[in-house]
Amino acid sequence: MPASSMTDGAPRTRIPGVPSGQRRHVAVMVLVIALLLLGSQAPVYRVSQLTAVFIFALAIMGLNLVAGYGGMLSLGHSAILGVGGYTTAILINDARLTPLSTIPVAVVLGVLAGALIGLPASRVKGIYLALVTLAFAVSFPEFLKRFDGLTGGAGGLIVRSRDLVPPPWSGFTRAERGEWMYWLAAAALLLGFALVRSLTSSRRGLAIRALRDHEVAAVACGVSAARDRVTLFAISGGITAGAGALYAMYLGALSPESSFTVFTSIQLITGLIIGGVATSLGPVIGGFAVVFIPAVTTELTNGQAYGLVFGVILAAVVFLMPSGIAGWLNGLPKALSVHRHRGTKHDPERHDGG
Amino acid sequence: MTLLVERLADGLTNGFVYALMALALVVVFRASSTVNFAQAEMALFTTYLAWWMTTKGASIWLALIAACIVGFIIGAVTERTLIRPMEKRGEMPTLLMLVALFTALNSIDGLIWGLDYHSMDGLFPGGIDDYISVAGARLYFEAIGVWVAAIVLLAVVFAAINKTRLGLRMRAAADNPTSAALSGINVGRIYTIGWGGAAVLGSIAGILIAPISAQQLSLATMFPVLIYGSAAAIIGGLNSLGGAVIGGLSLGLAESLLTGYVDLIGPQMHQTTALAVMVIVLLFRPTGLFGSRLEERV
Amino acid sequence: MSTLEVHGMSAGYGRAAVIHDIDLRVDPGQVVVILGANGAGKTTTMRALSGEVPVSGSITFGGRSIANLRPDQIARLGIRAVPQGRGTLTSLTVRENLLVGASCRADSEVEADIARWMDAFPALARRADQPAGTLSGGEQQMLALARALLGRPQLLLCDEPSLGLAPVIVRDLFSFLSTVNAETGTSLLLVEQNANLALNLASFVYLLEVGYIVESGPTSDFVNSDAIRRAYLGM
Ligand SMILES: Nc1ncnc2c1ncn2[C@@H]1O[C@H](COP(=O)(O)OP(=O)(O)O)[C@@H](O)[C@H]1O
Ligand SMILES: [Mg+2]
Repeated sequence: MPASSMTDGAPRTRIPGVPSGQRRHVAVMVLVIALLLLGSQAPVYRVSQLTAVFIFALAIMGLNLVAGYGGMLSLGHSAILGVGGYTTAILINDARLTPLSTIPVAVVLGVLAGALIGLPASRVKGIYLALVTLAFAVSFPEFLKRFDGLTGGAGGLIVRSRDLVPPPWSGFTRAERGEWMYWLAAAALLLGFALVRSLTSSRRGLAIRALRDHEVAAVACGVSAARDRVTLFAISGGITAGAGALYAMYLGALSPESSFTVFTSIQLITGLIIGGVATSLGPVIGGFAVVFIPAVTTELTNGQAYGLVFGVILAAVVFLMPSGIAGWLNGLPKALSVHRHRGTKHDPERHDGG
Repeated sequence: MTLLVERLADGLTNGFVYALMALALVVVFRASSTVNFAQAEMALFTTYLAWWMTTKGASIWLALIAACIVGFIIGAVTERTLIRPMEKRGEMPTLLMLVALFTALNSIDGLIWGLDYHSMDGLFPGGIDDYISVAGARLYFEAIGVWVAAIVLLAVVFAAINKTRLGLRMRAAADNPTSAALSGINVGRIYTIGWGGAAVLGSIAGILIAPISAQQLSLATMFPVLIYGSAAAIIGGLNSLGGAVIGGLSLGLAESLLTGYVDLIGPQMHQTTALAVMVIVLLFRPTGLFGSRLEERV
Repeated sequence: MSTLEVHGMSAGYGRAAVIHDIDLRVDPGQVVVILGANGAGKTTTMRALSGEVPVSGSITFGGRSIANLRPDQIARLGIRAVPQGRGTLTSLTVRENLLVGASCRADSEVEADIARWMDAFPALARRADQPAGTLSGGEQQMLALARALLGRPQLLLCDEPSLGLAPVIVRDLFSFLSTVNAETGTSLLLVEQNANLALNLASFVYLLEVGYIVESGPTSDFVNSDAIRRAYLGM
């Protein structure tokens, strides 16, 4: 994983009394809200696509904690996404809860699922961990089918749309569910963004990155490798399961084979790699990739091609742009200035680690 | 009794196929310290190819040979073009390459051969009457053929690895690549051959399993074999050739008996069972039951 | 027989070179030693010659350029290296280790050579069918030497063969090297930190300090230099 984005998310030195940093924050917020407003005015199907982008971006954001900042490849995040989705669907259908009130439960169960998948991470690493997480991804659909009384088995679950109406206080009408989901997903994404951002710029976050890059040294400095890895998986699980909950509300229908197989994990990973591992914007770019690559390829071919397209893009990005689009953008100003001053475009700080 | 014999026979048949897949994974691991997630999809591609040849009138044995040759080429080219360039960049980029190959190959199969299930002729007589009775149980020639083929193949592989010059070079390159190179062995070429050979093993496993698989020949035929194969390889220790075979056979038998007799697991939880065993082994005995050391690149 | 000639060789592990502008020559049948303190770059020099690290500058062997060839290509041209740390193939048997050394030979005298070196090292013969990882450090050093010799090299590179061995064993080892050199005419390029024995064997010496050759000359010049005696011979 590239360690190129060390500046990204690192704590900024803030000079008291000089609110220039804050002013920038406000400017960025205004820009984001303006973009969101613009997006909400798009045609209905575009709004729906953007909602999917936000949801996948959130799921990838969870994955990024583990795979990007933690350096541990997880193939198990499809299962975590499913835990969130099924929790929400089951609670709405069987416990008659309102959609919003299921989200905290989904997040908590996601934290537990993440911790469970991450528990082995305290003992095994690298390909071994990848295999363990693969095991969870493969087992999840089998569990769904085995406990079909709860999950609807292979046929899946349907949440009736009248159970998914926007809450009255939101001001959205029943017919405006699409816009409601758009804003809900956007809000969740911003929340996730802030959480990850504060997490990775905290002392703990720095310690975790140190763990990824120089384990021996980090452990020598008192970082507990085992505990931090499990914690990272747990938080990651909460975020991705939150995305799963939104996904259930967004689609209103879940089935084991359609959304929660290992291929979903591969999609999330591909999105993350394209966007840029261990960058804060990478997952958002990844969300766009995950939603629009299949959309575009389905328009162009008969629909079978998108696995091929994903594979080719993933391989190409790993080969040619190992720090992803966000990493490339981050490096751009530096590369340009280096180029100007010294006539080289190689960034000596940039290297790829395992 | 009859049921027991039938379950044992089923378990053995699957177990041999898992053993071949596990062996392929171990051969690759010993070369490149990675698990070839795409191993099963390489095999699926060549199995489709063999099936397609038989629909065009070729004999299944000719198709088998073609599948092995194409398999070797796919494996060798993968090592040379996707894996070796990642060697210095660590295990994550290597894994990502294999994940990319995994989805790309599966998708290519779908593009070329469609989403339908195809029934495929086996190498051995598969008629309804082609069986012998043992303790009232029917042992079909199809199954016995798989056993014999697998045993012969395993014997050939083990002889090649332990008794030939090429095998010696492979073991040397796996044990200590630097020393092997300093002894004049072209380690890179040995790895390429290892990947090619592993893909040949996978091709044969695919052609053995597809005619008797519940999925017949479809896009989902080989993935479970990868899951069992990697579980078997881990149980065996990931770098132990013998361990892979024992792991594969015991998983096949355990699967058949457990899912047959333990209600909680039932028919839906096959892969979960295998994977649970794998995870337990990994957590409590990371070097597997027969492995000599844990390759760990920090 | 071929001569190794090195001109202006630099090599390292990343951006910065570890050894700089090295000139070096080993004639057929000659024994040459490189002396240097820990970290001077001796191992790096050996690795550069055997093709394990990228180099700049010229290296020729028998008139043919071998700079930046792969290690296996260089080995097949007749240069065999006994690496620091011995490079034992631990899961292979002792016999198989030797066969690996001979794996690029097509002649029929491999078995005779194995018998010859096993004669010279009875410990190897006794444990021929055991995994080589079970040998003691001294035995593994012998094995590494024998493995290299099975390639019938014209030039043998030995990186600190005495490292970690008991003095008695070191003496055996050097007398063996001397025999090999006398009987087969194999040239030797030795690297040592502690050099009493090496100087007995060598006819030419290079001194390596922080990556540079700072002095070189026939052994006799060195044995008589007080400064050298103090620095490298521990007297
Ligand atoms: N694999 C390596 N990567 C980076 N630097 C190395 C490596 N091996 C050695 N060095 C550095 O090169 C220098 C010379 O090392 P080496 O050639 O092993 O010295 P010697 O064999 O004389 O003790 C040392 O400063 C060492 O830190
Ligand atoms: Mg050294």
